[in-house]
Amino acid sequence: MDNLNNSNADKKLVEIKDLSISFFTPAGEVKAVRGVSWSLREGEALGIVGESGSGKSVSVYALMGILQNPGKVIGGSITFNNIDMLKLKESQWRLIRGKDMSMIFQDPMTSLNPVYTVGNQIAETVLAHTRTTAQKANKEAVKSLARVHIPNPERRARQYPFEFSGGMRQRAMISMALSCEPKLLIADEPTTALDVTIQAQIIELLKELKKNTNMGIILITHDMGIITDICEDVIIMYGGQVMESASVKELYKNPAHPYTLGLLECLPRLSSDSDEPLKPIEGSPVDLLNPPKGCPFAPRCFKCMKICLNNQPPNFEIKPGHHSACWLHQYQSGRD
Amino acid sequence: MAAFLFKRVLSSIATLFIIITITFFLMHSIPGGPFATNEKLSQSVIKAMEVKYGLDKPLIQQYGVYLKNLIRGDLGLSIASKEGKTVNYIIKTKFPVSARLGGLAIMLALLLGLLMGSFAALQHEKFVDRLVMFISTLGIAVPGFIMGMLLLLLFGVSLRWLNFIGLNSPLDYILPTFTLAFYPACFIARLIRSSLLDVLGQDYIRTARAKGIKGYSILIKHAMRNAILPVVTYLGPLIAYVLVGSFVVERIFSIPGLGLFFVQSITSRDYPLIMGTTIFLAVLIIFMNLVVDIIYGIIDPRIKVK
Repeated sequence: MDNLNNSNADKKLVEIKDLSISFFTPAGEVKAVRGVSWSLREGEALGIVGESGSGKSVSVYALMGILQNPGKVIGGSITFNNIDMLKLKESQWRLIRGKDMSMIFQDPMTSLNPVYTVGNQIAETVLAHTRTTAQKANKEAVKSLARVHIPNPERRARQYPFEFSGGMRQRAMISMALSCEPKLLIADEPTTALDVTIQAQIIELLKELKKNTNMGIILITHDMGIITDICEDVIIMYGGQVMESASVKELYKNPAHPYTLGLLECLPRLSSDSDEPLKPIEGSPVDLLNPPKGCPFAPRCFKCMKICLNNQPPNFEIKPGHHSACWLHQYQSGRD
Repeated sequence: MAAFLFKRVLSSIATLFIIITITFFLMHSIPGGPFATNEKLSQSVIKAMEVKYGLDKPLIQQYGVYLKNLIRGDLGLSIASKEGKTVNYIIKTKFPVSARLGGLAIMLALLLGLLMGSFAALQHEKFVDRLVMFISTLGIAVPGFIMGMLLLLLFGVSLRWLNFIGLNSPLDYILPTFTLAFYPACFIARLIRSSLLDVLGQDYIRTARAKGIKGYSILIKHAMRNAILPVVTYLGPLIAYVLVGSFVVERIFSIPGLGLFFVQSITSRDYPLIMGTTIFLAVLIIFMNLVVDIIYGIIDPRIKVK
């Protein structure tokens, strides 16, 4: 299959259609993700941006199949590498997880098991997915650590996570994720818990890995800045729905959805007048227990109209490849 | 490690010395004496007995003599035993009886406790969890002597399945072992349940899942090793207490173990036996705590023995 890649550059690695996820809590059904669709082409990187509770992490947990109780996929489809993932048994899914798709998490301080050496934890992934001996797996682990530029990899492999700094731990996590050469790497806010200089290093590393492998990357963040560094495409999520999706260039040039505009306004700019205050988006996030009838962003939207409060906006295609779920576009396209 | 052991042995000796001193003077401050409760003895006999056991000397001198003998490993003569047995002999012959029973009970408690607790944690808030919580609450609330009596009545008297006097055949171990194990099993179940619930929610468990590790391997390798620490802590002193025998269980099932002597030595003011059993238990507890600390360092590399 791999040799088909070149002939078909547009081949989709991940396709998510109309995905809905709910958490069944004692307080009621929390509709965390409501009808989300997006896709990722092989070798490309997709950024998912949104604030806490927008459903960005939950949707990739579903893609990995590690959604925790009481969370359940209640509708839609997930296709990865031409496999309909939701039809797989847990035992089949497990063979793909960690091998063809792997994931790194927000907090490297807590994501590694404190009682096993880093080398052991990387070797474990290798052993779980390949027929090999423990010795060879350990060698593989050392090679993995070297690949993410950890100095003294032999010695480091024998050390425990508490002997690693935060940035080093995140590198170790990345090397673990890459140990089986996955087709897809999901990075769930990989830099949020790190300090700024380390953030830059991790981003550099991800960029380098993307260049050197044909791996697809899904990067979840609430930092618009990181997206431009790595990703080709970006989707903006809010209240469990996709607000806008486009290529990164297009989104920055022509942001269409009021929420996207709000997010971009939030970014501090060095070039602008330093006296200019940052503009926060007023209001608070959606109550997913009782999501609004209309557009989830409507109550906070500065361009909110009557129709927004009562009817869900369809996903308007503003330009080829640029979608935005906002009623404003109906009138704009009407005028055109 | 060697330096650690050396330091621990030194501090253990200090601890032991304090325990010996407190026990010695406390025990002599209880009203009455070893000959007060016996059948009427004439004054001259009592006097002669006191001379024999060295009880006629001033207390501080008795203390000195006791320490001197103790250093030679001599725990003295038991006053209450009519045949004039030494305390060393009593411990040497009775401890194995209690320890065999206790050892079985600890293994059973650990097995039952870990199984019940893990199932409860994995089935959190489902039927199994509620059942385990119900049983373990019962096990902690019901005192050992009631548990023992109920088992004895049910299996020994009513059903006549099992013998309940002494430990003459392997089957005789069933009832006393279960009685001894039930409380710690329930306690361990609750400990492991709550620490497993905590550990299973940790980020590194999510990482293990994301790596495609098998479910039981996540539980055993990743979760259990982190969750077991509280159980290990509890197990240290528990092993010491259970090995030296339980007065209640040995009484109910007529077992000639060491546990009986703990209580009897006090009621009969058998001073050397009180000291002997107390020191024996103290040494065992101190030793078990040392073992626990070493195991800690093995289970969790972040805890370094210093």
